[in-house]
Amino acid sequence: MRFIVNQQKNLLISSMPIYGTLVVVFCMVLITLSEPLMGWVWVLCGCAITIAYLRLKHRLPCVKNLTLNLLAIFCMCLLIYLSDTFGLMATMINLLVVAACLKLINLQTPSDYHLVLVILFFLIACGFLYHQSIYIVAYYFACLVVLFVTAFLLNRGSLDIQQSVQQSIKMILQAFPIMLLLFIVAPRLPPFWQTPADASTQTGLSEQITPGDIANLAQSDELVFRAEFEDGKLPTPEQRYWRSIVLDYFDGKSWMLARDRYEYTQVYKPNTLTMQQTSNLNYKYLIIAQPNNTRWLYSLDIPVIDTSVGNVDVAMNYQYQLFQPQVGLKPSFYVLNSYTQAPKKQFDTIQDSRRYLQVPENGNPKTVKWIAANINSKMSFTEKINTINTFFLSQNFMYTLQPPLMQRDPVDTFLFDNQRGFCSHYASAMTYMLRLANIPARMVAGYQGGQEQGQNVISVHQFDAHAWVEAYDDNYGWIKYDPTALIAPERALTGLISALSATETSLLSRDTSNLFNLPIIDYMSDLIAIVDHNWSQLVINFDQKTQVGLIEKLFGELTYKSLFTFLILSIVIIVLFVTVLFLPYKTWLSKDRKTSLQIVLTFLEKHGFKKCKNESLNTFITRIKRDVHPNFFNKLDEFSQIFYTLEYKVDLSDEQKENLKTDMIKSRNILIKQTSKQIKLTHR
Amino acid sequence: MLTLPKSIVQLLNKLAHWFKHKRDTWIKKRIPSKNSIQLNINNTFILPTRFGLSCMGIAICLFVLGTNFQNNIILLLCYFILAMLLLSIFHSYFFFIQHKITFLDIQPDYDNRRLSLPINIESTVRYKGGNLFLKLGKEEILQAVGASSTNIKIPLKQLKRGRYRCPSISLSATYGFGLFKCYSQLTPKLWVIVYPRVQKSALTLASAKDASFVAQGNHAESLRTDDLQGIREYVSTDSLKHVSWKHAAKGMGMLTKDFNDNKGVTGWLRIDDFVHLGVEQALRCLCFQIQQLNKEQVQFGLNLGTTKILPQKGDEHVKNCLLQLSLFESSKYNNNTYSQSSFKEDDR
Repeated sequence: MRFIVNQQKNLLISSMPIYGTLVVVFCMVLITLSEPLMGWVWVLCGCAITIAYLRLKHRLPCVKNLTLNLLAIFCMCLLIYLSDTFGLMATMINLLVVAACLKLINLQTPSDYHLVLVILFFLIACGFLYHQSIYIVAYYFACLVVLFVTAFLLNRGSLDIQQSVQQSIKMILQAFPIMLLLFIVAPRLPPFWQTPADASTQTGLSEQITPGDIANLAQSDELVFRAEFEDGKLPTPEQRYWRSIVLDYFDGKSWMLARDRYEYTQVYKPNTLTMQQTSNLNYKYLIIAQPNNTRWLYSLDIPVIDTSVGNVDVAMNYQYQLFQPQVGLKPSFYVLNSYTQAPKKQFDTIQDSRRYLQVPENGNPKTVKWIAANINSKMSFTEKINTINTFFLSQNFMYTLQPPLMQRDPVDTFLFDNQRGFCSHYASAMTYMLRLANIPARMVAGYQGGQEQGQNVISVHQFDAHAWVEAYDDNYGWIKYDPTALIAPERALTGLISALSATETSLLSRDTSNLFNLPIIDYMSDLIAIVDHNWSQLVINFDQKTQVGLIEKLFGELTYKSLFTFLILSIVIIVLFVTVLFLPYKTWLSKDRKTSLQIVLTFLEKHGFKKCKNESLNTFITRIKRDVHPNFFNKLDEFSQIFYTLEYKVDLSDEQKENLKTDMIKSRNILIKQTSKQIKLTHR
Repeated sequence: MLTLPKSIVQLLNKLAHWFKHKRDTWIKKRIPSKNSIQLNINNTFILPTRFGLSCMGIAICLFVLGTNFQNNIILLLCYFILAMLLLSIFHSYFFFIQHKITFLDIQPDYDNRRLSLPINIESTVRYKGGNLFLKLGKEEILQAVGASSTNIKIPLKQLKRGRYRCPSISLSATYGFGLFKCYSQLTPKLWVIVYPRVQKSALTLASAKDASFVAQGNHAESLRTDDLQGIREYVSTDSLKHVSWKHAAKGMGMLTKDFNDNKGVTGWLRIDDFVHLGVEQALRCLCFQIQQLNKEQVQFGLNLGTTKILPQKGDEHVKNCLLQLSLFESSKYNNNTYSQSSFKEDDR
């Protein structure tokens, strides 16, 4: 068919900018999806982009469809084969990327372009599973706008590119208010079914820690949570131990949770009164936590939960760790009151002493030997602890992000051979030694420190991840020991960066904060933190509760009536918005209003005097003279005089014209106020 | 490969045909046949395109995804796409109705040539750019409408001689992001007239005397005596010298004085003289003769057996003769050697 041929040619020639834009946006989206993409998909993308580039540059013909189809089948097989290891979500994203790649190689008809657009829309949506910060969202929306502009360019007709871009951006911007309104109004539903949790976040502490794991976290600058303190009363740096997961089972290599999860979710409620009596210090703060793929949350010791605020039901278990009923898929916030000096006395003598004294049956013989040689049962709790601490101090231990691999008997290797490790190595070794020395002990994983932002906010990032030790003393309860602090005291006081050597600092991907101590940079980072904070409070955390709160704010109590009004009102707003956008008010404004003559003529026509087409106004008036009242005729004549003067007299000044115009309007108004009796002459 | 049994295919085809017929009659009822149409709410259908449908699909998927992961940003994206879809409906509609379509007369032509339907598209140009698709049968034209008035021609399919109703034209536009398609089916109130093609042959003009009908013969003879033969309506081929200015001055319009010398040769074209070639061939020969005689300013009549046209001259006459040729029904002709069932395709 002639038209199809034409159109194809058309697209191939004129759509080079569109083709290029699509490829660029594809790359932009790809960069953000580096996490779930498989290696070979990257290679395929590279090839596809190169081919696209060559085709653009040299205007090469299309690749044979058969080749592409075979390649597609091969890729599908590979994806299905690998789907088990990568999980459903990642496989789906890879599939989409592969499809987009293969289609990008051969873009021809508009429907090809549309297909790529649709795939990119979906990829962007998948990107939101991994990134939710305001900057990335802005970046993605910029991509979206470009994609829609591209869609516009595909059928722009005779409009040139610049005009089309302007026109389409205007049209796209109109969608944003509607989007926001829908966002606020549309009902929030609970999840339809349990979702695979792997996609949301993969960084963070896990329920099993092998020493060295946390070192990987140290290279991530992802935000974990923000704590906003009341009255600007911040804990001192050495008090900032944010407990998250308590690990009590050691298999010789890794620390993990010992029992089934049920035991860890039994709610423990400490006596607030005793805590108030025993602790002079208490901090009240709000925590906004990013989803972390587990049920565990963060707190300073010992927290009392303010249940009246927050979007999740937080509870504390017998290990003083906070948890929520479901794995967190979205940011949660809750308010705590922590009594930092209150003793942690929760200990079940029979059960817990067995639990916290567990050691693997064999392995790490050197450590066992050392404990047997240096510690005996006659020594007191403090003496035992001191012996171990002295060991750490006397040896040449080093704090490092890159500990050597310790495969067999890791504690032995760490303590006696390498003596180089990260916090989890120290915590793991010390807990193990304490247990061997017959002191109930456990490892606590969490975060230590945090960045102060403004007066009363502390932001904690993944690189603040830390592990420490808790040992139980009959008199004082659980006591916190941080062996890392013995080796690298700066770690606890000023954070990770200062504890590392200069070469290791460069390993950390974050920019080391404020190198030159410029106040403007401080100010900027504060501002960014505030924007981030508001973003996560207003948008990411917007849920049914917030929605209900909004309705209550607007209409008072939440009833069916107010809910109904709210919905109707929002629909009305959308309709109004659309009406305002599309009413032809421009043509109304620009169109000449009816002239006075037209008004008079229609008035006369209503009363039965119709002017013929080829009649002049004068002849018309003379024709109807016999039939109208003389008074009315005089007025009509006057009007026609003014009309003729205004229309046909040549040398009129502007002022005269204006006067005549007002005269004409006056005269017109007198005319059309006449009643039927005053107009028609009744012949007898 | 799986092949469906023939009967099922036939049934499906029948169903599709039936559906299409129903749809077309419904649309025809809705949109009356007219030559000048301002597109508006009454004659416009707004349908999602494939891209629009997939965007709706995406919006639904995103809603499920966003709800399941409790991810507000994905929901935000979902609402953005919904908003785009909503606005697109209006944008494409308002683009579409800024057009006014006027069908101009179709110039009749010979059956070995393709006729075309001239169309004038007026636009208020509220929205700039955009394409209109005009589709007539299998012929599609992509028209970019930039100016306030555009003239285009859509070729009709090759037709046999005859007179047909102008087929309906589907008009569509996917303005904006290509999410929605505005559609209208317009039927011009026009006739398509196809003359038989020209076939050269020797001029065979039967003189008036030979004609077997006497009344007309008298008529021709009686006019031979005078120099000034009479007055008739002016046709564009007439010489200005022959215009009766006296009448023109009286405001009676342009009239031409007919002189005897032009009238010198007069006669009848008869289908009987050519019918030995076959009816179609005969008509083609007659078509040539008519053209030729008109060029030579000869007055002639046309005798098609059942239909007769009195001897005359001028473009109107020629047009009339050619129309009769194209309408000629061979089945009604006595010496019918060709058994063609029906050429008439009036009510297509």
